[in-house]
Amino acid sequence: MTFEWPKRAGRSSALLTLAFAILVSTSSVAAQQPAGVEPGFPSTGPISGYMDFHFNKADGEAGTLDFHRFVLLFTHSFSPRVRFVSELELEHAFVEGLEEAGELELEQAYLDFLLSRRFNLRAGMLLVPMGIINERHEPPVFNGVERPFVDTVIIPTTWFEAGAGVHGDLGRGFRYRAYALAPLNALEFTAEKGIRGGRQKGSQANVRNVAFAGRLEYRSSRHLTIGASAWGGDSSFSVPRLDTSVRIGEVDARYRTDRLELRAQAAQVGIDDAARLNDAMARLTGVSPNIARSLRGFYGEAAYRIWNAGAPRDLVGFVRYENFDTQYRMPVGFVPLKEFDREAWVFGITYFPDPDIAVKADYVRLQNQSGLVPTRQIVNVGLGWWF
Amino acid sequence: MATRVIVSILLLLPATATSGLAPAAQTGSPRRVIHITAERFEFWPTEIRLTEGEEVEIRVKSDDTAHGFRIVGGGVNLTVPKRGQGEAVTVFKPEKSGRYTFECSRMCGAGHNFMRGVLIVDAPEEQKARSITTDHTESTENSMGFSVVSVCSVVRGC
Ligand SMILES: [Cu+2]
Repeated sequence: MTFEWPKRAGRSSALLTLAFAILVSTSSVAAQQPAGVEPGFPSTGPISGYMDFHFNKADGEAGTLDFHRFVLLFTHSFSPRVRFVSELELEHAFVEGLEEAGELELEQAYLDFLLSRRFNLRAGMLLVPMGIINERHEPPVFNGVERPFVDTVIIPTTWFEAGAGVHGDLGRGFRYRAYALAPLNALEFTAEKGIRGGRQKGSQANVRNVAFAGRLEYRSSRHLTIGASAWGGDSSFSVPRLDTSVRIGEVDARYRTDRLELRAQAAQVGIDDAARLNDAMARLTGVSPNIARSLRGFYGEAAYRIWNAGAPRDLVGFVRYENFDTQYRMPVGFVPLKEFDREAWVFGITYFPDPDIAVKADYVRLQNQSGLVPTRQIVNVGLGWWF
Repeated sequence: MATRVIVSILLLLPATATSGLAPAAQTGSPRRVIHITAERFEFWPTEIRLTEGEEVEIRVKSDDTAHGFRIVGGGVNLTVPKRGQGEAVTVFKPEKSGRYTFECSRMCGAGHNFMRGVLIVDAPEEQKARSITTDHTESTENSMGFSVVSVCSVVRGC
């Protein structure tokens, strides 16, 4: 899974070009929509959202109760073709200044200019189009109390960033998204969680370099959807003369029948110049972070609807195997930390008393390749709902 | 309350059907039924071909949460019940060829705005000439010449 993105040429002007295109399209949208053509516009709301309430218990540790996510979505349609969507998330229930507790995040806040089936514009705070979960993360949509590990440490969901781009449906089952976004900040990468800390989250994001993200999906039938995503961007803007270009490639598939659902996903991250990145960070902090030059993860999940009579007689059982390594390939002179070469088995159930309410329970066995760090066994129980 | 509304709509159906257009049974041609599935965040199928003047019954069901089904600019706007709770039904008769966008009209999650599809209405001669599906350019999404014969939301199948 190797690919090259064009180097910096033209990137600085990409956002300006998109902004101009949006301005032009706005005026043409206004011209196509005489006032009063469609009843019910403009319209605001209604408010919708989702919540995620968890109990987690690892062996040898005290259990924790966590109101993990409280998310509200606000929307406004200026016209059938110009729409605003936002998603405001409170994580871990509590935010205090300068404390590492909860987070208040603006995960989405964009304007959509729906021009045609094939070509639409979007600008604002965007979800990075990568993988199965990042754009489909409502609790009833996935199995397991917590999101897959691969969708946490390899693809850093929920991954959102400020930017602009295009999306559309090409017909014959193909859909695409292509965005220009603020890049990752490589100085926040870690050995354990990979690129996750590097998300700028649209907060006064540095855009000296611009990153590009794209996703193509193909749905061949009612049952099968396959997707491929890519992300690329220079991520070392804080350190002069460092050229840490990051590339991510991902493929996934979902197969669904009345009772059976299969999911598979694989992702790989490449970090250029990782040796010099480690040296630069060691000079800044006094400790070498041991960042890899390549990270890799994949998983497969099989879920079966054991009880299929419609809520409240709706129960899914699932098993998922995950393999993820944030130290997959090291730069010359660096030794991988084997505790971060991990695999997990997750067994669980999801019960739907209502199609929008998911009561979840699972058992996780998380192993690593180090002889020193023990295997973790975790029991999770969760309640998630959408309204 | 919802049940009462649905019952009233169902009772009104015969009157609506005979006031505007002849029901399919009277014209002698069986009405085609088109099944659409909605799930986060797509419809299936997303591309449906009709012939100008053809009266079709569109039945939309959800595989997860409640969605909406709106034909843009067209006065069709249904609530698609949640999974296992029935389907939304409308009878649609396009009087003019062209492309009619349909989309989800009820917020269903992060990718809600991606939920769109198209009804491609061919003129009868086009329909005859077309042996293989060809690629069409975007044209008259907004010139809505059509009739909605009846609209209802059906709870637990009707
Ligand atoms: Cu929807």
